[in-house]
Amino acid sequence: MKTQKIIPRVRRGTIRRIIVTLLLAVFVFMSHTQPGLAQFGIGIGGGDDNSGIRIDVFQAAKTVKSAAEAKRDFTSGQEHYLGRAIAANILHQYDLYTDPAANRYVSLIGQTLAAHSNMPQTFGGYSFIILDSEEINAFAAPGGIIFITRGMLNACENEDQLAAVLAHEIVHVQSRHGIELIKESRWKKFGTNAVFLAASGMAGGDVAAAVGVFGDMVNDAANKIMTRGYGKKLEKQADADAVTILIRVGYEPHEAIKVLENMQDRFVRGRKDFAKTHPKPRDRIKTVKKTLKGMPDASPIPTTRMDRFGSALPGAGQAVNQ
Amino acid sequence: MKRLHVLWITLATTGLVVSVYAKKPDEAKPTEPAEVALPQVSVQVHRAALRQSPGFLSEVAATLSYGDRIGIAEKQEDWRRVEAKEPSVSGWMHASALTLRTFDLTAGETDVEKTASKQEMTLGGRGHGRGFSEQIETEFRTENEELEDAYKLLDQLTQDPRRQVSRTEMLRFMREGGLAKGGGGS
Repeated sequence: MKTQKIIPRVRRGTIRRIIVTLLLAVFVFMSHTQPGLAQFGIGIGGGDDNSGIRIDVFQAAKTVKSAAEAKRDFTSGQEHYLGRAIAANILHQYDLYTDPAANRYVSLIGQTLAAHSNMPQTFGGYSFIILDSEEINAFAAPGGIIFITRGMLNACENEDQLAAVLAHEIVHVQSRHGIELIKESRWKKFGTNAVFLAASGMAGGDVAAAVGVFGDMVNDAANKIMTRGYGKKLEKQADADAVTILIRVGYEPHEAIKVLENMQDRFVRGRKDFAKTHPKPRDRIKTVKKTLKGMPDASPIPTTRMDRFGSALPGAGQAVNQ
Repeated sequence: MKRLHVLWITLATTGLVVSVYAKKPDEAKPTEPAEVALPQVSVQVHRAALRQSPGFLSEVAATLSYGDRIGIAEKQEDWRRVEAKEPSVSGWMHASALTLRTFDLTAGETDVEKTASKQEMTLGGRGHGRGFSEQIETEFRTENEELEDAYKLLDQLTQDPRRQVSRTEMLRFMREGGLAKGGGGS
């Protein structure tokens, strides 16, 4: 046909390229949507995954721009491994307080609160661990590994105050605050690395590069959690949302204010503790008071609850200047 | 001319395939007729309990594993009544344990159950014998030897049964302390 002859060679090539590109696009698209087809090599190491680091064409092609995007892309499994590494860093720096009764009691309160949170189940579940330190502090690692120091236990006068501290940490887990601590640059690097991995079928060198980025992510988050905290905005959210969890379980939320007052009383300038990792207790008290506005007045805590606190944690809630 | 035809056919096929696959699964509506397939989701936690009624303190009807595909039959706030085909079970799960993602657990990794008792969970990682996240952790641990003791301690602590609380223990703890009972997890 004449028309065919009119089409120049170059253009025929272009058409061929368009066809090939489109077919490829369809294939990639189907691979992404259809798990069965994804096996044909697009998604190395887990396709849509949770195996670990998520690698596929779509993931690699874009740059994660915001914490919200990062949260969406980070799977429950990845969060679990990130949390483990952060928790290992915390355990590396602190000693363990092994008293079985105290640990069991903290676990009972913590697990009960976690079950009533907005994220009652995490990939690996929640664990509550006491650290042997005079510091008044508590940390939450992504995925639900929560630490509380002996100093913090001592700053609590009753179970409801201790519950307030643990509920605050649970909010950091349920709202996945840990991911927000990772620097933006890590995400970008991670994306580049994923392309590299996908292209080469995950050779050893690529794993090493991925481990490097993982290590940087761990450092970002672990350092912030231990030295600077989650930042004003996220801490405020944790204080406010903790009240919701406390009310669901039946704890007296006004005790959250009292524990903050105790912390203020016990504040030692320059010590590496909550004073560094959390906003000023005065500001935090304001947040909690605002959240509690319009709620019924404080009611007395039943004696059984007071008693079990005393027997599990003798020495807690004693007068300030020990 | 022939080439142009091929181009148009390709374009049409592309459009058709994309429009078919681009359809996103919708959330379940209880009013849907029974013959309509339930919207499918995956379990994204290691072990997930199916409860007899919405609420964490409700009795456990069955347990599902990571990656299991299930259909959403009903919604009640943050709780979803789900139905699984293999094994054929149904019950309530908290929405946070579910995801729209699809997980491929291939031959080496299908048996999440078996690996559950091991210190490390082996998940995902198609064709690589073990999960990519786990592989990264292993490499990370090799590179950060100083953390090894802490990691071992962490495994002990997170697997310590005294740090976990059963439904019965939780109910007793709440009752004895004069705390709210029932409901839960909103």
